[in-house]
Amino acid sequence: MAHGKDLGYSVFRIFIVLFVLTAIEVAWGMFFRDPRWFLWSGLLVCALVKGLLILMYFMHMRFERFIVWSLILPTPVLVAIVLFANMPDTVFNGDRRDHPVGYVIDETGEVVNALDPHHPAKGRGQPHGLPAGQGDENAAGASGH
Amino acid sequence: MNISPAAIPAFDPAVDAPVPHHAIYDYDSGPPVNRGKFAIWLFLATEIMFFTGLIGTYIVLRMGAATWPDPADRLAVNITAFNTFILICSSATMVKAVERAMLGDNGGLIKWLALTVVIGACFVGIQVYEYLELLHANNTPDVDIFWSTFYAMTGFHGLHVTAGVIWNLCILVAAIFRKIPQEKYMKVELAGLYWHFVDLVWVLLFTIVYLM
Repeated sequence: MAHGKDLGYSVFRIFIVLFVLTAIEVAWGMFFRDPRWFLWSGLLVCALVKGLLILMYFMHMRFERFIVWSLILPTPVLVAIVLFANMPDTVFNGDRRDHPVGYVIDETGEVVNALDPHHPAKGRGQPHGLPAGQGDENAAGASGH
Repeated sequence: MNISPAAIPAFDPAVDAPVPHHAIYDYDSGPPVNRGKFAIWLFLATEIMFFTGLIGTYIVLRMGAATWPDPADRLAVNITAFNTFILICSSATMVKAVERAMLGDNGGLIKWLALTVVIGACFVGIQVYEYLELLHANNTPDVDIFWSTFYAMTGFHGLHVTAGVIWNLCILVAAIFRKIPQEKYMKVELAGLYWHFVDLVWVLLFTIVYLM
């Protein structure tokens, strides 16, 4: 946009690429659940490419001067600081939790799967789109990370 | 009226030189880009940190958990994938609205901006529907940390989209009343930058929260 009245790129092409990448992401999430690193790396690559396309073209950072870049360049450093500052409080204290994520403590103090419809604590957290009582197969949905 | 060149007095720097912008320094002390653009990017930098705080906390919590529910078992990925497509469409229409504003085409600006507002409102509507379905199934934020982080991240993003829709609506009303002439296209561009940022955040949120 800094270059007169011409956008300098085809909006339609970028839109199509974004659309295709979104479709690939969804398909990737459906068909490549295991191993986890393969799922995650494919999804992250797609997401980063999409984010970069939006940043460089739709937000026209590709055509901006350094002073605009200098406003957002420090943020990755701050992102790393935020992540590493948070990490010791949680990562190294995982074994101190009362119950793992995906589980709840019922009124008797027992740790139960939040998706288990046969437990007295049922009704707390049903799978989305399923009526109560059809979540058995999802009870084992809680996986490592 | 004809004025002969001889009648024009010679340039006298002591009299005719432009008054400096600053009392002491004869240069403009502002940033070498449009001030509005500078301000919106500064604001977006703070927004990056805001969402980084949310996403970073989610990642750290998830990495620190012994188990984590599979999002595909708990969330409606298909509906949200459609919502992602919708938001990408709205970004494309916003680019077209900015382009029309730069060209001084008020009719085109109104058309594309109205489309952006409608599509943005659809996104918010679908998200509200998703929330209602989840809450109806008792998936409240206090069930576990999965739902707490889910509602925190998507909820704050939804509020940002709502703010963007309202902002675009204000620009649209101004355009209808012909208050956005070609030389003021920057008003549309600034709203567009915010809108694309919201889209960018959703692209990352969709991947991290719904698919991973």
